[in-house]
Amino acid sequence: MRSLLVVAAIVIGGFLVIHVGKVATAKDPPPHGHSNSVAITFHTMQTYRTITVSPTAVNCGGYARGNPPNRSKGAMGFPWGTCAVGDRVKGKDPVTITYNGIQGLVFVHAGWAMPNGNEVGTPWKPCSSAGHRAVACTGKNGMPGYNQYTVRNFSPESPAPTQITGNNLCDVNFRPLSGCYASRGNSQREGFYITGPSKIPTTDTAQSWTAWVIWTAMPQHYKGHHE
Amino acid sequence: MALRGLLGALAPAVLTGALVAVPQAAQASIGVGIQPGPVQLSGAAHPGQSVALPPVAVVNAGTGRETIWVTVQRDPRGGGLPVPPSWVRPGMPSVQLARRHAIRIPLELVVPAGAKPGFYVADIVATASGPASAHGANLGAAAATLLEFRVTPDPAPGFWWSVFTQTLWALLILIALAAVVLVVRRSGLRVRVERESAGYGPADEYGGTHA
Repeated sequence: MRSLLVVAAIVIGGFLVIHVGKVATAKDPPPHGHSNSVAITFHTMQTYRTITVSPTAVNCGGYARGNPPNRSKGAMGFPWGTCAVGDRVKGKDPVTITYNGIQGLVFVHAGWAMPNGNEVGTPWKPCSSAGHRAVACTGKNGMPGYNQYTVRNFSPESPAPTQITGNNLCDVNFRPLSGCYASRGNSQREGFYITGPSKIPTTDTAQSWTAWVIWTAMPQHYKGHHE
Repeated sequence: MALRGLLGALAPAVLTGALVAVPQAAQASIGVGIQPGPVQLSGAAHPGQSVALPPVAVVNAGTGRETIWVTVQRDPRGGGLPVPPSWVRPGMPSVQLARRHAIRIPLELVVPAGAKPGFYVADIVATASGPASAHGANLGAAAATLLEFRVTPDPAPGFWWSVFTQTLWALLILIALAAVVLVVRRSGLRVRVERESAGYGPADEYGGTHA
């Protein structure tokens, strides 16, 4: 029994010596005499990739379309009522998007339009009638269908509004001359038009909705290691 | 008269306050930043394994307090195998950050047992939302960085694994030897080794030499 304990003690002792030896690090010797130090503060350039959007929320106005009696100048009508944030013709672009950090891309997508507060309504999903058709508009002539809506954005430099989908895609209006490439400090003013659905469920009672538009700062290119 | 004097004295302060407050309100923005370098797993992951990815750094680049959440999205430019969002679990679903504050969010990669070997690419996206506004449109900001890792089929044992297994074997052998010694001692068995005197052999018979 004693010999077994001796063997076990040797083995455990060996392990402890190896591991403690690995963990232990030599400390600096204590400084001799007095010493003083001075803190040097300096700034570096921003390296991380950022995007800022101002303001944080906008009102949609200039209501139009819809068919009588479902048509109003104070609210979105049906079918396909529209409202606008800004005015492309008059050069009103109320949203400012600013990119910062190392070079990248600016993508944009629309989220679901949700009823506000405690109102009852089925969310509207963004759809696309051209281009990248992940969720195609099911209405007549590419117009939004049941519980669908479209968002089109524009900037002072864009020749025509461009449809934003639910998929995160290049915001060609950010820099119309060079796609959505962005470098440090690039900024763009944008506005957009919203077109509502062909119809909504008869059980929906919501009269106040909020849509989402989200801009994303993306890495410029993929540098992966292919198989 | 005294009231007029008081108003006259306060007017510059009120005006200054208004001048400072109005631009700040007009410039309210929502913003988010993310580390530019990709989140990469050193080495490879194996099916059925759960490993810690390097944390991702995010920053509130807006003018107010924001809630930022991290998600994994398919890289829209393609390249590599797509990463199912359920494979990557952020250490916290969302964080609240004050203006200009940053945080490192830990990430865990959970590779299911049936995962296809290969090189996987996705975007880690930090999305910021401010206070929701009724009427119209809420605007959001997001920033993405790449996530890259490789899944290999067989768990290739590393150096420290082999060291560990070898040490374990040595320990087991030592314990077994000690047990044998103990059993032999307790049983009272004695092994006597006797040496027989050997003859000188043919060399001696035929005149071999001896020192």
